[in-house]
Amino acid sequence: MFAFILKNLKENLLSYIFVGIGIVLALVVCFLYQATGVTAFNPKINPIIIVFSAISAGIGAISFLCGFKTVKYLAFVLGLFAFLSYVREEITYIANIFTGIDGTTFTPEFIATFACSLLAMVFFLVGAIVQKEILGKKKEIAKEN
Amino acid sequence: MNPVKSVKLWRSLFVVSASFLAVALIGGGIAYDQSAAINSAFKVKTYEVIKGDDEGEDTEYFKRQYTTPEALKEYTDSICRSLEQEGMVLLKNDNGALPLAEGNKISLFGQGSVSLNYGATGSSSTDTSGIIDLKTALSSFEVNPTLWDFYQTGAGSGYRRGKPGLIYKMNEAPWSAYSGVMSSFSQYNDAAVFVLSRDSGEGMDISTIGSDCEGGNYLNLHPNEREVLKQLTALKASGTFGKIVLLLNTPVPVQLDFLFDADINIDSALWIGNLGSTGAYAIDDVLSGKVSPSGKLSDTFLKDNFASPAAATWSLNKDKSFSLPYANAADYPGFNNTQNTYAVYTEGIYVGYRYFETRYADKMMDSPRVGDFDYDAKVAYPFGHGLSYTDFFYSGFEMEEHEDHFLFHVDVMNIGGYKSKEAVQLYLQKPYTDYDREHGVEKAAVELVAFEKTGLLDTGDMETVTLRVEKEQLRSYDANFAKTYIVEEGDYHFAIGTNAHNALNNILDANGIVTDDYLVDPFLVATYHQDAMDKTTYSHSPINEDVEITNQFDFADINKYEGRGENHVTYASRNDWEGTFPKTSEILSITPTMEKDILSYKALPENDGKAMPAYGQDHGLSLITLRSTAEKPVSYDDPRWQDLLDQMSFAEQALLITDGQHNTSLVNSVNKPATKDENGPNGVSGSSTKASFPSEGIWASTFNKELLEEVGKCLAEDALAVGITGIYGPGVNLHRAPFGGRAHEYFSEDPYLMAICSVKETIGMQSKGVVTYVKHFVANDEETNRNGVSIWLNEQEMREIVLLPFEYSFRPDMGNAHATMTSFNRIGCLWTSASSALMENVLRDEWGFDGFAITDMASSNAKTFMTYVDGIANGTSLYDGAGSEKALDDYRGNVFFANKMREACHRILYVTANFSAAMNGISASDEIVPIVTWWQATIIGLRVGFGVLAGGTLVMLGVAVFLIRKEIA
Repeated sequence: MFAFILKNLKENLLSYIFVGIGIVLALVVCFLYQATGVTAFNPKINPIIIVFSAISAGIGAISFLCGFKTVKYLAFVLGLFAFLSYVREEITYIANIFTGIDGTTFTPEFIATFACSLLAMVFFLVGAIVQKEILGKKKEIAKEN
Repeated sequence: MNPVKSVKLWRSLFVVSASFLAVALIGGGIAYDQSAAINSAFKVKTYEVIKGDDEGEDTEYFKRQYTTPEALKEYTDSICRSLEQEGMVLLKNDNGALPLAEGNKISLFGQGSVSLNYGATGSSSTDTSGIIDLKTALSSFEVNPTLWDFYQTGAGSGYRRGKPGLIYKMNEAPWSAYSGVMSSFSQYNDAAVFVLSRDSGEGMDISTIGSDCEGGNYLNLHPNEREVLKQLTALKASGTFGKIVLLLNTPVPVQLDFLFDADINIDSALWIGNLGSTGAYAIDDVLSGKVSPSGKLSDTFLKDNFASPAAATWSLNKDKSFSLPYANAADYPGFNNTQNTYAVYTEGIYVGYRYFETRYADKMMDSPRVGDFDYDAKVAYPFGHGLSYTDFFYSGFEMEEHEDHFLFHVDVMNIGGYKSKEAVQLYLQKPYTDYDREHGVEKAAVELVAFEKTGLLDTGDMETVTLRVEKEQLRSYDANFAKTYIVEEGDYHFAIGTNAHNALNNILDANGIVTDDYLVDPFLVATYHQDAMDKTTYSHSPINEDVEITNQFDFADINKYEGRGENHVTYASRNDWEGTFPKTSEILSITPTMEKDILSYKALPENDGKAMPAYGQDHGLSLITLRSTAEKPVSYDDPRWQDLLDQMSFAEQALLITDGQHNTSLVNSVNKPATKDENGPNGVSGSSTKASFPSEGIWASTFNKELLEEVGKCLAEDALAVGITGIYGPGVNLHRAPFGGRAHEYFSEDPYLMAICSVKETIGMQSKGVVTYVKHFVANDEETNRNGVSIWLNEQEMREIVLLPFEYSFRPDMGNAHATMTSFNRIGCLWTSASSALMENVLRDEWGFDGFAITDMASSNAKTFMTYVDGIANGTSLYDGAGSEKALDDYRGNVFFANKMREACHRILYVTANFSAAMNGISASDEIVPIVTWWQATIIGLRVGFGVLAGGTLVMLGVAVFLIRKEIA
């Protein structure tokens, strides 16, 4: 297994760098949101955001073990779900800023959480896109044999 | 297909479809959350009426008068123009500089000339695109095109005011920039017209620091404005310009000290406010003399905008802000800025002219402890001031006493050379007695108690004007001893005056005190003597004798609040001006009791002795059957209302109460149609005519009750044309100080003037079936930190100044407004909507309010301090936010809360049935059913489509992987 992971990493280093960054960012989202998510606009934490961020990070980690491109895409989809859930949770806050009524501005906490969530999703996607096809390669090897 | 390609294909399709599914699910959720806003924005119909068998029945309960777009547009345009014609105030007119002769050649100065203020931002914003510019509007004159182009496209075009970094800035062009256009001045030299504009808007107050105007204060002159005015003065002296005219295009009072400077010599000054859509034409009407100005100031215009107690407190606070964080706010890290800020209304009843005139009177009467006070150094133009092109002579002033009111008659004659109207103002001086000094009852030296406007009087014409004053207006609120309204023994002087100061001088003169007012006339004073102290006549509700009027707001007066701890503030008192005029900030700290009171989600009682309401029963009633008519009266207490309410489900009630964002939702079980409600103090949002009206201060300055009622009708016609049956207005918060950011939506510093304006507008609007939401109930007099800021004030100010316009608006014997919008702020520690003293004891019991209360925009605060549980439990009926059928599920089992919900629904249904044109076209046999809107159907389709696609592609991906693995194996 270890050898498989090493080989996989070696062949798809760039992809796993992206996925690795995505995992870290997704975990940062969990911690950041948990720590700063309670605001004047939202008195409660929405667990869906943490759960989906954590699952996307977990699935990203699983991709290190199995090496399937689809798994990375799955991490992206879940990351997208977490990101959109965060936007929905903060929609009144965002709307308040864009309507410019109360002079409210984007806080560093919001910007950090928003950016991490968005980037986690993007890194998962890019990681999936740049990964080489395993099944095709396996098929070619099987043919050659 | 190649298995590898097949995997790639299905995987790509899966990722794309799953991504779109996520967007459809969550984006659709956001859309559903905001369905009321979407329906409003796209003018989506949310229900259909299935007609029954009542054909031929007249179901047009409220009738529109202007049914064609052209007629409506003409009507709204003419009303806006009339408001501006009658509302603009001629402050000065030296040597008869105005009117200008038709055909005069004039030069327009100031960036405001090309970027006029037509409206403001926030809830009063309207579509100002395509509104006529000043140059075009001034068709009676030849306007300097070179100078116009200088501002539009030339060297002056880069200078525009704005709000960078949330600070209002003027950025006026320096005199040096005019070098290329100076040669044009001599050709357009009959008058230099300088347009001085200032902005205002919702959400923040006028900048008192950090602006580029003098002293960092946006309401002072910009240095370049001063320089231009100086240079124009020099050019006038050298003969280049014949005269200088100043147009104050600002909804708030600019500090006018510069009008008295030796090096600025302005001949005429007009306050024109924000202009609305056709107000610019009115400027031409007045400048050319087609219309003689007849507006009277609805606010005192000052030489020092920080001179009043309220503004002085503002200037003493850190950052010259109206509010402060509590001194120990850092000890409460769990509190956010909706919980840890406060403001103290140190002025007591002495708002605006009530302060300046009273301290002046005390000075003239040599009262003790008046201190150093120079009226002329503070006041530029008093409340009620306003010149005309003609002169009026008052005579024959008489008072008639009746059982519950007085009638005053005065003959008004036009003795000048122009046809004009005159606003006749009647002021009252109540006796300030030893009882008052002992018990802390404050009395202003004059207060406006009645006004009327004459018809258009030609030279030599005379009109006898009758003014009515209710005896109730003699009352004062004694919050400390009698704890109710009292009428004290003594002389009550009524005086006609050309303004508040002149009326006071008339009273002083009648009492033997000589003033330097050359217009003084002691024969315009009448006196009523009250023989004995009366503590009973006004100690009960005028609407319901069983309701005793006594202190309700001790919790909002920090000196009386039981949890005050060491906190104490000083309110201004005429008994000791020196000792009570603000000298430092009032610093307050949070106490343990305050901490508890500030927190939201207060515990509910389980039961209030009532039974759990019934839901979902079938009594066969429809809302329209409970509409009261002359033939079949149905009172609010009619038992059939309970049967109707039994028909509603809990979910329907929850949706009706919580989903009130610019609408009230339809209720299928009782056949209640949805209503559309919109912003509209200065014009209906989404108007088909794009009609917008001048700032409300200009409305008030008309002193014309008939015109104000017509404005109400006009707003209603404009609203009905686009299916709107409720307007979030009028705004009757107070011009406490010149810096309130939303002053353009409010009428005046004077509660009586404001009250009458609101009453008349409400009567006009509601006569057409458009419900007025009088706002913001209460004390939302400032904007910065408005969310949750604690307002601390004493009960006399609360009742006589802050609440009076609301009282008049709601009382069934006055405005009879059927809805109100509550405010973002707190009074004391409690959010206004969560104060049963305010929402139930005063609003409903004392005043007999039969309508419902909606919150201000709840979406951003509904989960924090504007909570459902706190508001509904204390008399709030509707939330201006996105709600749902499940929003109140947490309280399903609570009998007390369930009955409060039922009461809220009862109020909304009662108002809709009886006073809303939304019921037009609906008869008893009709059924109202919800329909799936096009956008909802689209979301459902997208969700199903992408769900199926994602599922299908996932299966196909699995199959493809299986096949390729099989092949490899």
